Amino acid sequence: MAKRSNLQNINTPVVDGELDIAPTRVTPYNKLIGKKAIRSKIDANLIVNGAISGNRYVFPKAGTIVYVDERDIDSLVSKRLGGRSCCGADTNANFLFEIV
Amino acid sequence: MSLITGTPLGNVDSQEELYLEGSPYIYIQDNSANPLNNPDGDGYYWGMSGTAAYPAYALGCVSDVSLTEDVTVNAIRCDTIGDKDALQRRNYVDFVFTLSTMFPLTTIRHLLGLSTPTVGGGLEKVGIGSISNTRYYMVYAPKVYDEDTGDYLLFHLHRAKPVDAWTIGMGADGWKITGLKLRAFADDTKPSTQKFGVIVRADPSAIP
Repeated sequence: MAKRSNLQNINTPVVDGELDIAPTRVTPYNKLIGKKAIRSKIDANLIVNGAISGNRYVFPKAGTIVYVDERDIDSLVSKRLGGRSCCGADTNANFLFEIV
Repeated sequence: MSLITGTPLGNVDSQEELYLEGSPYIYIQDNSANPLNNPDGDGYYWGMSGTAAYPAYALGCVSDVSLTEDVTVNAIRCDTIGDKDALQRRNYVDFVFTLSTMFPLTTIRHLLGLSTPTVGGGLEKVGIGSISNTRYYMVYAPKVYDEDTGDYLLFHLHRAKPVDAWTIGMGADGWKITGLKLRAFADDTKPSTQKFGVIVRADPSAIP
């Protein structure tokens, strides 16, 4: 009969500290740093370029929300479609975007 | 002042000495949106509230505006005495007008049945393709008839679409789009008494 090894001599691992659930890792590549959401107000396929970043933003239809570089916000929300409004229209009419 | 002689006796309602001139402003919106009053406290569906997803469009310089209806009349005719009755069915209500403002294309493309425009880089592009038969609009047309008090009359149509051929006249007297017709059909999601639309008059000095 083979000699049984003395199991009491095997080094058992020692846990340092208390046992706890592994902390949630922050995945920085999904975080919208320096971005703000704006929404299209015009029922058209809008293609605009950010004045500062030069990024190209596409809004396929009215109500589309896109996260844009926050440096581009001022130039984008001031964009209007068309010149002087006609015939009793609101002076705030025809702005392309609004901040969400 | 009515005639003293020959007027009916008893309870007689008379019309008001009030005459209107000039057309209402006209607004359209995709009828996927709800009217502003949906409904109001009296059960009427009217008004317009533009949203980011469904903007309301204000039409510019309109002229020759008229509102008319189409009715089918079926006579009940007896060989003995001729017509006994005429049964009527309202088929639709038309808002007909001429438009002198051409831009932006994102607005008039709804009236002319053109494609969704692409806007950017200083360009507005729209295609002349097939007409969409699946898109309907609410039409809202308010008319302030007393500018001192703000009394107004408005027309609201629930389910309209542009019909018929348009013409863009390019004359020296100014470009005009004629033949524009917004045809309102019955909307059976609304109460039967207002299935085509609603007319509202606001005049606190004349209406209790």
